[in-house]
Amino acid sequence: MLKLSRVNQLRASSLRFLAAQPQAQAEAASGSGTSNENSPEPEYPPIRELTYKAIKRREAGDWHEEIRKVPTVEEKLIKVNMPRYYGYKVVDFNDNKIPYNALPVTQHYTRTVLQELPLPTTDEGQKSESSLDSFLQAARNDVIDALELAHDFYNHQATLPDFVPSDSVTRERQLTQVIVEQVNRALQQVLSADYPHLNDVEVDYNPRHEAFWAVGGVDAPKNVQNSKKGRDWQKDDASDSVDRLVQYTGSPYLALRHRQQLCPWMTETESENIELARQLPRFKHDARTLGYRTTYQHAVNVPGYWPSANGPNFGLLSFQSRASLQMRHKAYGDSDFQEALNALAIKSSYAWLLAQATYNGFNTYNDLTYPMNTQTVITNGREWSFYEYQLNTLLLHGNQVDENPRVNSCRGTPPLPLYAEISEKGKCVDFNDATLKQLLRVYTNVPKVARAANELHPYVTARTTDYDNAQQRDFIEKTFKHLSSKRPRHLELPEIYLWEKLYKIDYKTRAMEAKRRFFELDINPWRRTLEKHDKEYVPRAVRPGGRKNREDRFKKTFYP
Amino acid sequence: MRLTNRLCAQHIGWHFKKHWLVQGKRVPRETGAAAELLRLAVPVRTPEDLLKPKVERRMLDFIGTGQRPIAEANAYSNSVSAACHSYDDNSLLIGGLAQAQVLTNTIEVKTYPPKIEEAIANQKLPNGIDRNIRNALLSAHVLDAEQVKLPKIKLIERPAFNLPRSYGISHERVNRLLVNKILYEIEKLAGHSLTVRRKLLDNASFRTSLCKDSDQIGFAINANKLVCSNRAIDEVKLKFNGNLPDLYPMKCTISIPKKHVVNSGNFYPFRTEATCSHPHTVFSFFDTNLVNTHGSEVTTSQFHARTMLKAFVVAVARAKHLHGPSADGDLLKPIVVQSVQTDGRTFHFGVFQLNTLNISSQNTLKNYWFHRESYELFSKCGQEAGRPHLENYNGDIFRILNAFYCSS
Repeated sequence: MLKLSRVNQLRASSLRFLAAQPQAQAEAASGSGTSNENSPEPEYPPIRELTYKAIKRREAGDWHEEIRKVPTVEEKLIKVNMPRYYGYKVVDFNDNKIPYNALPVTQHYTRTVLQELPLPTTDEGQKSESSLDSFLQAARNDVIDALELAHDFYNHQATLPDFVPSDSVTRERQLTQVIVEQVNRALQQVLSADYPHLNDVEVDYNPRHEAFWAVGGVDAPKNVQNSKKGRDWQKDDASDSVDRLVQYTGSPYLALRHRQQLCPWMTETESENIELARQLPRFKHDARTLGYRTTYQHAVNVPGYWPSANGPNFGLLSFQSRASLQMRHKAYGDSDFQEALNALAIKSSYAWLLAQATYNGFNTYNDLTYPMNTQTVITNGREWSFYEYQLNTLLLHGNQVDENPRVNSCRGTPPLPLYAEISEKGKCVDFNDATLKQLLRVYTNVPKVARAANELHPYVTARTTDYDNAQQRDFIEKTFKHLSSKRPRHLELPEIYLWEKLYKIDYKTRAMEAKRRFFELDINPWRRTLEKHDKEYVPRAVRPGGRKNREDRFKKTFYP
Repeated sequence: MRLTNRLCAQHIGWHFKKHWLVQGKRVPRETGAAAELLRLAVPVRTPEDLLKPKVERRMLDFIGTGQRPIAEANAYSNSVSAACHSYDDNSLLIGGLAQAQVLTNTIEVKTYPPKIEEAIANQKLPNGIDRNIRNALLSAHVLDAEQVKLPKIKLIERPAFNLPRSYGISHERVNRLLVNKILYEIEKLAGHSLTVRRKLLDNASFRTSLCKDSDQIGFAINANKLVCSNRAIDEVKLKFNGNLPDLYPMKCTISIPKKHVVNSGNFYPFRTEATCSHPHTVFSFFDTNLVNTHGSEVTTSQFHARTMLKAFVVAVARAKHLHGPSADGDLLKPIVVQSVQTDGRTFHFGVFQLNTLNISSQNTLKNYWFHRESYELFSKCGQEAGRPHLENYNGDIFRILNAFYCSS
């Protein structure tokens, strides 16, 4: 103790000294780089803050830097998963469940400002309006045909005794799938002659969209607070916020991708607005208070396909389902329903863009260097809501929730009916041209932004498929897919049984028994890292380097 | 706490066990009672004799496992339908194409109709198309991110060996994506004037029933993808003659099980008024889990028969839809349906022309089935050493599909 206090004294005095002479130090620093080794000014290393919090922050920063330096996309994704063998505890954000009052938490978790979609008013807008009208005339009959056919087909099919699914959610999902595919086909055919970008589009049918990110600014759980309150040196930090990890899982009806990006509709200065960022809703409670669940799983980022070089990597449009919103209670009211739609649009757009961003080397700890855009349509076949989303930042973890000046932005319309009803005879009644026009606007939004490779993915320096070592390529591919398959571990997760809690931990009644369980050996199984597993044995018959080769008894691993 | 194994391990169960171990070894003390009873000539019996009397086992002898007769008096007996042969997606004709021919009264023609042959030979495709199809193929087979538990794989040499279950894209999804993507490429080439006359639909059901030499046969199939058009395909004007193959000693309804079908009426997925309701091409996916009745692999002939029957059922359902469910006999205007079957790798194409609904063996007018051997789209497609890998891509399939789509 005596020695430590001496050291602290010394440090304090040196700090005081430096504070008194900041200029001298700056000069010394600038002079030192040139040459003179025997300069009279001594060279001090930068003084690092040595508080517990600062060390933790520095460690986290180092880790984020490590992730940034990992060369390939797949390895980056493995790297994020390295600290947890059994997966992270994540808030399960999916596209099926939107509880009451979900908008604030969604806005906080995605750092998104919500706006109304403005109507096109400029001259250019009017010019495109007139061309839109001509397309409207061309597409109108095709779309009505498609709608009538889809209804006729589905309703007629539903007369079969063993066809009808029991619940209305599945019924809506099936019918809307038919409608969306028909309408998409009709619009693509009408427009593809004048908008050649529609010929290069890749269509995903019910793709898998997943994204993982970290959110700061959420109150610590009770047990963490109590534990900190019990220690003198952490008492003051007991109410500090703790990061939550979020995993989105969703599957839209259709998603269109293109090689090029959509034009951003917010300039950089607009998106970098600390005042706006401060006005964002902050949901400090645990998301479980609203009805979200938590699970343990690995971090998965998938925009519908596996990483492929030079593919159509940028989202153009996705059609989301609102079938599960039927299950919400009527008493929630109309305004909450609208909020639920907004929340669904925000989280699905954010998650899809984040997943696309991960395929370009960014992630929740390494921020975007350029904005990304997408369009989202939420529909049940009759009602269509249109949204545009611009992703400006991915940094939400730790203090970023207060410090990050950038915000993401979403703008949308309320649900617009495409038609009033389908009559008994199968005819479309009261077709709404305004909705179709809006849909045409979505399709005619041409992706124009093309970037050079180094600008596109500044943090990606290699491709896994270009690695020379076949074993390494194979390992990375298998590990990456294994992590994203959500396959349960072969052995059950470690667990303290209730009888053990009673007879071994709370009351030590079995003092003579051999201590073999993890809690008796002082092992925290949740701290087990991904690479802590037995290596795979290579049988002699297939071992490289011959039967007697002992070096390659076990398969090499290539964890980043 | 509940009285669980863990709790018993902790205290009472353990003590009981030890106690019972000791008590279980007790030897009954000799009291002399048995000897006394023997002396008095009283029969002595052990408790086991009384508690477990010996029952003599009755030997059953029967030869083979006969087909269970369908009970007459059951819930269905009140409904209109009777038990009939029912062919569905999971049925497989054991006799292969020959059986299918006899069943449907059809002549096999080992070429495509002349119009299609011409279209295949004369089509002009842009240069980049094969690259697009390769990409489509890879994105369906390799790059799609779905991961579900795949069916068990069994090694033939070691049937008891349990391999680890792999995760990947399900078979149905591979086929769905592949067909959708190829059709998308075809439609891009075809242009608006043609595509507006076609409609694509997923999972269309067809039900129909026919009488074949006093056997009622019900058909219920599902077209995984249906292309319909606003005009029926023109019939093939040529006349073909030929004899049906001889199945003796088999009957043509063999391996089609008898079932009660609740609703054996005709079902066609559109109402009569719909504009685009002519069946054009049926895409069906071959279910890899399908095995024939002996549990052995499905033969090529059986595979071909499945393609043909899909087209046949669609054509019959259409005919009955047009002329009423009781229509029977020769058709004035034959119905032509194209059929494509795939398991993701092998493609089989055919064109069925339904000339008559009367499929009894006495009828001299026969239906036509135009087809060729099946084609392999590639020999290998998958991830190899961490790279997407496609081997021996066959461009003919796209050309045939394109010709099929454009035919009218």
